[in-house]
Amino acid sequence: MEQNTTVIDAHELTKIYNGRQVPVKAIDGVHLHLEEGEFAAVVGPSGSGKSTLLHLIGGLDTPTSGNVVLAGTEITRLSEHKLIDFRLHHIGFVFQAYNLVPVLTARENIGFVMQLQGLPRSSINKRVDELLAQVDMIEKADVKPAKLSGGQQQRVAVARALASRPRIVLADEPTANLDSVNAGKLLDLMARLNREEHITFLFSTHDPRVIEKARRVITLVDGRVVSDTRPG
Amino acid sequence: MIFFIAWRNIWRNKTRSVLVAGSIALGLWAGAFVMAFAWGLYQNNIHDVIYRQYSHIQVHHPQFNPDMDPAALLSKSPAWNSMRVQPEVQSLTTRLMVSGMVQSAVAAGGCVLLGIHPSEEAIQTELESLLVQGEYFPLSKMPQVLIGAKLSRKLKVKLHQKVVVSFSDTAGNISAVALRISGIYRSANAALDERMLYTEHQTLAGLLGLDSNSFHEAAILLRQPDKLDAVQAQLASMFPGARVQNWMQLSPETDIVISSFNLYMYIVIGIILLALSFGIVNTMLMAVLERVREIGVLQSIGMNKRRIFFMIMLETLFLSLLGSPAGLFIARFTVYYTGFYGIDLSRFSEGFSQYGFSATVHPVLETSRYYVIGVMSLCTALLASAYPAYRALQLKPVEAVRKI
Ligand SMILES: Nc1ncnc2c1ncn2[C@@H]1O[C@H](COP(=O)(O)OP(=O)(O)OP(=O)(O)O)[C@@H](O)[C@H]1O
Ligand SMILES: [Mg+2]
Repeated sequence: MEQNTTVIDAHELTKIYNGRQVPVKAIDGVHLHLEEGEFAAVVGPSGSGKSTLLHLIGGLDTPTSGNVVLAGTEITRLSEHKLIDFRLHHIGFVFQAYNLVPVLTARENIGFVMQLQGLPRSSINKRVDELLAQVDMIEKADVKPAKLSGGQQQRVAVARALASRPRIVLADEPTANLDSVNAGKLLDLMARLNREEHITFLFSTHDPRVIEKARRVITLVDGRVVSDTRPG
Repeated sequence: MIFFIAWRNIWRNKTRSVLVAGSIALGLWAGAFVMAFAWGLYQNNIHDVIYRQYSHIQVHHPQFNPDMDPAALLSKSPAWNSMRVQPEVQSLTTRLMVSGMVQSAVAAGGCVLLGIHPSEEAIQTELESLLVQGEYFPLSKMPQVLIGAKLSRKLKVKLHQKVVVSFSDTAGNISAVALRISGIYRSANAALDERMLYTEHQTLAGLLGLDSNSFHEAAILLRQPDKLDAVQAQLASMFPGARVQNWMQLSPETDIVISSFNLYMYIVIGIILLALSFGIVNTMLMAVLERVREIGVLQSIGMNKRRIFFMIMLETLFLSLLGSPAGLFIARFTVYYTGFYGIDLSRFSEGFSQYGFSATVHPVLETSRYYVIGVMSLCTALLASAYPAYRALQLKPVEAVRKI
């Protein structure tokens, strides 16, 4: 048996937005623990705090209280500059849409992250080819995002998220703009990468068909975890 | 890679980028051309100052002054005559000058009577070309004089009539002479036209009881103006104790105009660049605000602030780097072309040629000035790019990615 290690450890996480009229408790005392290699979905009604939770875990936003430890690093204590660097090396992001740099081709978008990491060109090229094959985008490698379909764009976005060889990929409603066929394909792709590359995935969704594919389902209501199940 | 992204980013909105680069080009072109045109006008002015008025160098007795003591004389030496053959010297001449009164039957006025060598003066000040009536010192028994058109009107005298000039001689005695008007001239300077009367050197020398070597003023025109200092030094040792002055010393106002040209140029270019920088800032701010979400994604995937700042700055720089060399190149071409063929102002304004001013301007601008303008526009672009880049840094990744 492989030795499981903790990659995400969120403790007593709370986020209060000071809205116009009343403060909104978007996340309310959430504890979350993910082991390496998990494939977990965050579900819940609109406004339940899914995006906020992913942003807090990914260090895009700072919690009002509580802390987040990613792969042994307490990111809630990092300076802004260190945090950006941490994201570059340890976290991959996939958003709902507009993930890609419009002026770069699919290939360049994937390679860009590794260039930011300062990897040598030869190893970048090798890895980009590998990833393009994995997400089945070799034919469209030199096409810019505007000329790709929504599903193709999201596949490139997943490839880019993996390019930096992160420990975790956070995906906020990656299938929201896709039809069910493409949504299913994207999930299958993510699931396969999860198995093959052993990368932890945490994604949010409304889509029941996507939820079906998750091996762990965390349900949020009003910023609280109301259930945490492992179907199958 | 960041260079690459920045470069491609400016082509996302081609029209906008071309407009900004084009306005930079246009602004610099206009600025450089105006400078070249102004400098060309100054050159005309300098040309007139040297070739119509003062020559490159003049020599006077130290006591010589405009209300002259007729005894403040110098004398030509053999060395002076041998200067004619020096390659850097184009021409030289000597003059006698006395101040006095000129009278006709109906009016009188103060004047300066110059005794000149007509053939030398024709080269030295192009005096002959200023003639509007009569002849330039024709052979005659009667002593002759050239007077200005303005003076002829004031004295109500015509060609071939006589005027009487009275003056004090070297011994301080008043003497008077009747001179026949053989020609009427008109120069660019109406005030001088009213005062300056030209007669032959030998005529005035005879009246003053001087030999042909004596003079009040010597003027030297150079073929090689860069030898000015050397010739000036040569003259100073040839006429010990004399006042040897170059045209900048003789006409300090011209010298001031030239030295203030730099300042004038920086102000004009500075104003143009200031106006352009508002356009640059505005455009780049628009570009940043349009790309809030994209910049948010870049921050999320790990592009740090330094790189984002750098990217936006580069975009701004690229825009101006497209515009300024283009503008300067076109300016260089325009200046070269118009400088070669000249711009004839007489088509726009009649006054010029009528008064002996050169009506054709040859725009000219030293190469180094183009570099100065280029560097100034680069600095402006750097400053103008800082603000949009700073605004891009203010974006918070969460807020940016939430905006769809
Ligand atoms: N910047 C903000 N300022 C104030 N309130 C906010 C802000 N961002 C989110 N909220 C509020 O926080 C709560 C959680 O929002 P969040 O976007 O995390 O929900 P979600 O589960 O992702 O919803 P959806 O399924 O619609 O994407 C909502 O009530 C929302 O209105
Ligand atoms: Mg959401």
